[in-house]
Amino acid sequence: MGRADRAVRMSLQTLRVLEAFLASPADELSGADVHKRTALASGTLYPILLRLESAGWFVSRWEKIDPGAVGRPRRRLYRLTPSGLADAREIFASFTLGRGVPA
Amino acid sequence: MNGRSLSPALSRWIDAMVMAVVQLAARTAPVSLSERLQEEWLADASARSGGFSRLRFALGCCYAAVAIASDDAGLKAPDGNSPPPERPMASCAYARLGSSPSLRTPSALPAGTVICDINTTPLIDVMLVLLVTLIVSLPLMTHAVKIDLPQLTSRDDLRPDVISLDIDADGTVVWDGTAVASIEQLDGYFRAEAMKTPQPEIHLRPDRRVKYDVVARVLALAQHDRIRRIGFVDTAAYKD
Repeated sequence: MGRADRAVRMSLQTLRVLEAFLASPADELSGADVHKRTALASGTLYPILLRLESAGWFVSRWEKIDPGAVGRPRRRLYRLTPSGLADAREIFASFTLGRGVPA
Repeated sequence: MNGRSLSPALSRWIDAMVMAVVQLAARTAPVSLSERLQEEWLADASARSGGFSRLRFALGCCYAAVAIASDDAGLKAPDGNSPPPERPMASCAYARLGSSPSLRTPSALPAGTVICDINTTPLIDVMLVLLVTLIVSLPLMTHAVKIDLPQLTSRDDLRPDVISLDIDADGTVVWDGTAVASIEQLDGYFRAEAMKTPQPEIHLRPDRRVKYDVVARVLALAQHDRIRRIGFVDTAAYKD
């Protein structure tokens, strides 16, 4: 997957989602977890998660639990890929260095 | 308002609505993602604490499904490889997620072709507003408060009696055609009528030549005995 394939429209909401994952890059977060950290509405959040996943920034998997034993349905968990982590850090570093909004 | 403050029936109704709306939203999404999104959204909806929070989440899923479907349709680049300029993320596509190319756009368009589709976003917004209005108003429409109202037996029961109170020129007070002997007798009449429900109407008709002092005393006595329905009649006779 080339760099062009990984291009994602960086809206403020997308940055908030990435920021939530960058806080603990190794963690896998469900949509509900991301909502708690970003307060984004579901209508905004899930398209962003799918865009980032389809662009290769995230990978997702089903939670490995027994819904009957746990008493709740399994969740879809998202995690930053190594390349997604690097790109996200680069974007936030560009803000830190004052280079403005990344291209 | 959270789920703990809702009645069990309303909470169950909201949960059923959440499931229905999420299923509807998931069906709006691309077919390849529909099953996954439905399970994912239902799981995340169950993580919400309040009933109305879950309902708001479900309605947001409708919007998300439209956006995802729009993204999915936009992923179909004219040459099948390069993304449209306004959607740079589009090229990697939902192919990785298993989306069928046949679902993206009805047909491949030549480069530079303007797609004259109707912008359905405002329509979706209006639909969501109507849906929320319907959802909120449904319990109110089905909830009736039973009040025991008094039954009306006859219109005649409500019509007050009319008592004619004349005052002759010499100061004689005539109660319904019968001359009143003393002020104490008139006081007794007033007290008796004041106890009735509804009170009768007393039509006061003083002679134009009678002294005002007599009329004033009758009115003062009526007021003292709490007569509320008293008034002058045939006032046209006093104009000349």
